[in-house]
Amino acid sequence: MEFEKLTELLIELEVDDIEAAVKEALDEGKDPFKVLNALTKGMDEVGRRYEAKEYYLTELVLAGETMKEAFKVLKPALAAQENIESKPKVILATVKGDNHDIGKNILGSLLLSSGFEIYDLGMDVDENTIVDKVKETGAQIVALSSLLTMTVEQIEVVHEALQEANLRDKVKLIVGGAPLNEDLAKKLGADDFAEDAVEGVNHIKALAQ
Amino acid sequence: MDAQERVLKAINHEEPDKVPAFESTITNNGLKKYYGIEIEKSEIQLYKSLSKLGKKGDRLLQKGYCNKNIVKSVMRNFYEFCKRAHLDLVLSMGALFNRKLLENGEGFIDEFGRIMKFESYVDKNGIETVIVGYHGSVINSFEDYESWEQPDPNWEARLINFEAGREVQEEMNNRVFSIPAISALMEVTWESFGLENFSKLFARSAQIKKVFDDRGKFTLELVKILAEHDAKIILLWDDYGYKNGLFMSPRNYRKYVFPWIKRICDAAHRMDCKIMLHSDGDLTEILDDIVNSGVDVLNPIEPTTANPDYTICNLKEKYGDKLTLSGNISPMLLASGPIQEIISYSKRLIKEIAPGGGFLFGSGHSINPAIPPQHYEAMQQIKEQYGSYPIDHNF
Repeated sequence: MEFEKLTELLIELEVDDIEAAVKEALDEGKDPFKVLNALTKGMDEVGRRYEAKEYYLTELVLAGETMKEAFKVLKPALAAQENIESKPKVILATVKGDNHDIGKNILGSLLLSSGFEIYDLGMDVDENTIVDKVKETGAQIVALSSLLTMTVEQIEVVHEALQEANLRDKVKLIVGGAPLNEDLAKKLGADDFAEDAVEGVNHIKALAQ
Repeated sequence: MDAQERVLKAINHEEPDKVPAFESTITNNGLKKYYGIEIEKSEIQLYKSLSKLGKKGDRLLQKGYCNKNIVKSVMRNFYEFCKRAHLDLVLSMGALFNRKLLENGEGFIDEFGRIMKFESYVDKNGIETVIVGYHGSVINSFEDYESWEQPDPNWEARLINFEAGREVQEEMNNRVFSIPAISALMEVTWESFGLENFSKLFARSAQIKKVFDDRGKFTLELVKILAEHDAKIILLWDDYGYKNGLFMSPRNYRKYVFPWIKRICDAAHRMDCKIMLHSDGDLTEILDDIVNSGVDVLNPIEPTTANPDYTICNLKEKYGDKLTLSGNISPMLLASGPIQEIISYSKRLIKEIAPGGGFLFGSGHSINPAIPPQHYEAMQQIKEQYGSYPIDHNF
């Protein structure tokens, strides 16, 4: 199994074939990190096509699902060799009172393929849970999603809770969601804002440096 | 001029006596209190009691939907609220009925397999509003879908709700105009699978086609039934987009959705019925398709998408003679203010979009519990003060 073929399967969203292809590559003795690189190249191209409006949300989600299928066999192979401590850590959550997770889940898929360690806390997550997770993991980035007008103020609640826990200067807070824009995000205490998941990954990469 | 005449005239791109107002969703108990409407007991208590009865509870709920007196009693309270909230157009329920209660009455599974749960929001004055939120689906694969009992367009509750709405409208001397709202092709389809499983269907084209065709047939049949019973407008709930664009490619909308939307609009128009489409998001890439399919009204023209060119003014300029535009005042602005900005944006809509008809005044999504009554009332007062036709441009 050639690396180029793995990249192509990801780009063409071959969700039913990717797992077998990755297994074949690993069985052939290919370096799991090089397999991951091939898949990441594919995801980068999916992101480019999304930004160029060649792909849309369904394709972006399907790419995430394809990546998940690949990870079923790739993750154990990577785990045997990788050093988790060296990977940048990101906490994902939809804020308290909000049960929308499409954007958050896509962001998670994209971050996974970009080599981040993800701690997805799910939806309707309160500020204390987020603070506790930052303490536990030492994550450098917290990415919050809020889709409802009623819940955007929760971003400020998280910002203040991180301040109270003396963690605010240790983590970057990035936010996204329908009612938000850059001005409002900053006003609520966030360090950064992204219009969508693809932009979010790029911003998180910059924040992690 | 009564509400029905006012709305229909506006949708025919003529000027009625004043600009009509519409909200596709208005869930805000603070606003109810503000307008002196009794806040009825939360549905949650009823659902909790019924859920204890198991399948009997499910059957009782279904029976309730088919009991016109029960339906009318709920509608009377809601329509009175809408009237006091200065709205002309109000909705009755034609689809998306609950099928099965969740344990503990925390929500229900609807007729499309979506899991809906009650979510409670308490505003700054301590007033609680319960809204219903989407929490995934019980359908996780095409096989699950095939074994799901599909909703029946001929189920009696659909017409009973429509007729109940119309009868309450008559009781209120047509101060509000009641129209049925139903599901359509896109929103219930992706939500009934979940976006991940829905996206996977595109890897198997026969499956995605079958699902969209089932939805199309259901919607077409239901539109025919309602139009035959003299529905003058039918609202289709069918989000095609979100803040950054479309859920799926324009090519896929043209392949799977718009052929059905055209058939639905054609069937409605043959019976003198108009079609209103509710779709959130930036629809720029498929606006021509929406218009060419025959959609008469587009709601809610979200003002806060990521596309600075997706504006109601641009839509008015390009499609204003064919498409009635409904909504557009930002819910975020309505929630946060400042009030002066709400006033000036509302004035701008009246001045620039209302002349010539083809406009329904309202928010760019919904009136949610975060919107203070004073902000909502300020918006409506602009319509009351300046929205009489012919529009006086000197304000």
